[in-house]
Amino acid sequence: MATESQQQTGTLKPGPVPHNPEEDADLVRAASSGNLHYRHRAFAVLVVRYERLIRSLLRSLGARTAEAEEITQEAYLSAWRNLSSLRQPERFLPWLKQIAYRQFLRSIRPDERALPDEYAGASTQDQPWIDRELRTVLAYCTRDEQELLILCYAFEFTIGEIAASRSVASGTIKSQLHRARQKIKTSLGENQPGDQHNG
Amino acid sequence: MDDQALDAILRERLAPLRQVDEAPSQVRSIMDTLDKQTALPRITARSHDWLLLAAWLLATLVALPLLSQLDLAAVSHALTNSPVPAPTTLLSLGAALLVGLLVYPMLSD
Repeated sequence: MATESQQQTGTLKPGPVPHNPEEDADLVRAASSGNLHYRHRAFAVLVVRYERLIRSLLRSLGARTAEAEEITQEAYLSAWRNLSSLRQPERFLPWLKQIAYRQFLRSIRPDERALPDEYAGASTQDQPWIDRELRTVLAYCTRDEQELLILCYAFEFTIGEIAASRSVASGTIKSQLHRARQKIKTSLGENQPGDQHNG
Repeated sequence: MDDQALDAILRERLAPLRQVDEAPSQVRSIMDTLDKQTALPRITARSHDWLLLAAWLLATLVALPLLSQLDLAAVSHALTNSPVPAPTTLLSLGAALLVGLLVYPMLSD
């Protein structure tokens, strides 16, 4: 069933490879030991699988195209160097996303981030990534709150992962996220009362 | 609106951000950099196999005189002048083959 947001994003390319933790684990093991040539080949599959997702994460957080590419590359190189330290190989993707997010926080200061105009409620006809209604309510949130919402709901970060990446307590993230959700809830209620969000 | 409904709305409507990047793939760039950093020579699987074979032959040749406890001249003489290989030569070749079989898996790992 096509949702409203899917209809509005009709220009989207086919989605990324579905996340398969077991296959990832096999690839991580293959990339961790043995002949270097075959290790590279296994790691290349992991690059193919997630490089676009990682760049999308970075672009969504406000990195420019070139910055996103650079950070993605650094994240993968760091992942390669530290692959043996990954205790749960099936958690490669969450681990890689955290590496990329940490790198993003280190590389781009908050005032240097170029958040897409649509987060501020502006109309972007060419790339309607977020449906109009949510664009409007996202504009009520601060940039930090927008970032938390994007990390949690678009890229499936846990509160613990965000807290660890930012080196803050989980409770801090939890309360910030609660505040952001309250704003969204209130705004959605104000803009479109009734049961119009469930279709 | 309850919390679960709000979660569902946010998850559904922010999901398109997972595909927001449309830049060309940088897989080659990443792998090239990784190759340079780990100093892996750019070789194909076929040339890789040839390298392994060459290493195997070299190891075999080196091991031949050592394991057979014969001097190279005697082996050479037996191989080139004798119509029937001497038992010691057969023994040395067998030993070399054995060593080669042992060395090859180590090289190919």
